Amino acid sequence: MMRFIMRLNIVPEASNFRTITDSIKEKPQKKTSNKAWNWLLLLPFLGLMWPALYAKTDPVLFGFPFFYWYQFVWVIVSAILTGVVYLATRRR
Amino acid sequence: MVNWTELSVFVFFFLLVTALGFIAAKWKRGDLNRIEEWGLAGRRFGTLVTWFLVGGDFYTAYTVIAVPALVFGLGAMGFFALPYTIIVYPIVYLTMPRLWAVAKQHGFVTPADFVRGRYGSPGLALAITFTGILATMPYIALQLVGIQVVIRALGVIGAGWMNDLPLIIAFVILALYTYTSGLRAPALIALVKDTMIYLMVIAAVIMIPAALGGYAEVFRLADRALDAKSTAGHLILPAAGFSAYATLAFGSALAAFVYPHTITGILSSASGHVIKRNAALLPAYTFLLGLIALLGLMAIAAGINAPTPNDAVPQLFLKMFPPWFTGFCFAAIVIGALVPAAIMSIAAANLFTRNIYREYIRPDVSKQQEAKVAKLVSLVVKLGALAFVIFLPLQYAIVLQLLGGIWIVETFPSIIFGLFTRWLHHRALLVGWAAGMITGTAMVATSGFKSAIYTLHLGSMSIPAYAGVYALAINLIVTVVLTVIFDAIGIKRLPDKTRQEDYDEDAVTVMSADLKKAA
Repeated sequence: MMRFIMRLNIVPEASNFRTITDSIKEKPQKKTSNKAWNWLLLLPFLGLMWPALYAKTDPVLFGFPFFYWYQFVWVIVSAILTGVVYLATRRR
Repeated sequence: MVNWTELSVFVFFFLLVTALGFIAAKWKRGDLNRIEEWGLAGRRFGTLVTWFLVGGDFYTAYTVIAVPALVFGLGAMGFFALPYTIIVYPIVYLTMPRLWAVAKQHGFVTPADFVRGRYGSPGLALAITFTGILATMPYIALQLVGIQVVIRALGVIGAGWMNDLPLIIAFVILALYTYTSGLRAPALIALVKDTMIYLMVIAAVIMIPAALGGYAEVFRLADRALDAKSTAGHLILPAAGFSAYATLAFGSALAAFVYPHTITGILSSASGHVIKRNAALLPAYTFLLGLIALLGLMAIAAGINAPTPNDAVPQLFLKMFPPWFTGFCFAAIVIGALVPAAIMSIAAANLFTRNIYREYIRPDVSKQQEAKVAKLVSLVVKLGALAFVIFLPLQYAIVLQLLGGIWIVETFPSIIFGLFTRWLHHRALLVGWAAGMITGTAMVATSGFKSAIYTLHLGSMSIPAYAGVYALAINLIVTVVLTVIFDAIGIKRLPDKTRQEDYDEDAVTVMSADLKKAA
């Protein structure tokens, strides 16, 4: 049986696929997804695509000039933002 | 002189991953005589394996060598790798689950498969295939450079062709286990490799600054050394470098996930959710890359005198670490080259098999033959890369990889815009692609093929920026204008095999789950 299912997977034209997707579409699905959250993903671009914002030495943190630690902070912030967007828009 | 302790540790880890490479054939068992199993591991990888696989695939050994080398030579400008690998993930989050869904639904194995299905145009699909293979080949060759640098640092230097023997051995072994295990081999090896790289970097960023007198001292020494240098290096990015820095980061981020090898990693995951979770988790590697970039500054501060910038990091390790740990780090770098090299050769082989062999040579090819051709092509691709590195000057591979980034970004409109809209005309996309390829190459040619930065003069203003971004802008303008014209004069559009709901990763995932339940 598993072999049969695996074969189905690589034969996309198989009629089962169409009917199953169609039935999912027709189900009155509760749409909890909110696409507005995606706008958060724009923030890393705003924070990083304008180097004039951060190409400076001060304030120094743990010996790191601002230019370096500012960009490291964005790694963490953007990961958190992406995680937030994922959790907020996930459909159950 | 051969460094025996380093060499023994190195050989031990190399043998370990070789064994893993062959064992991988039995992992998450599937019929390796099918291209979806050999070349995409049956689209079964969960969040953790995908994290290791894409991490090992995207942050290559060449990156580990070249990013600190760039910082070693140029200071702050080399740090563009950090914003690049930050903004790439919002892009991945928004686009790749759609590509995964439509590929799963239609059995697409390559980006060109998708373009073929979406636009119905064999010509456009061929352009995508051609660009993908062209951009991937020098990238594979550069992974070998990472290996060469390490072998040089180990002190293994023979006469004449013997000099290349360790490289040839490493690559033949790689070719054999990729042939037998397909994508499972680099995926399993990536688990070991990335653990090693993390240990290497954590040790480096704690021990080396401690030995040099702390981070403040590292930055101070690097600043002084960069100022004293005759070449233009700065600890803090000067205003003249802003536009180049930002466009290099932006253009590289657009290019990153239209490369065939990164798409292979994405398509092998089990669901769109796996990809989205990874968009939030993969930045851990970006943090790591930032630390690796700092190694360049540490090498300056430690007064490393490297024959080429690429030797900066190996020389730094030799100077600062005990021999056994240097051997461990060198093994990590070499294994770090094998993982992406394997995935790249698989991606190139998939492209050739699906979009050239099946499309033009043998349309009636059976599933078994298809997988067989892909395996053979992966061997040929690796031998080609090996010959490239052995017989041609290193500079050729570096220049071609530089151009490769500019070329591959020209496929962005067809692949990524295609995931959201069919408004663009397939012929317009093809002409736009050609315009981008030609102008991008010409821009790099004006620097004598030395720099990817092109300075645009507008009246009294001059704006230096990444040629890939300029070429993409030209590509887009041509594509949009021609779409309007072609539709107006009624050039026929071709049928679209995909439907809107095919792009919804939730629907596609639920459907697979339903099928499983039915079983």
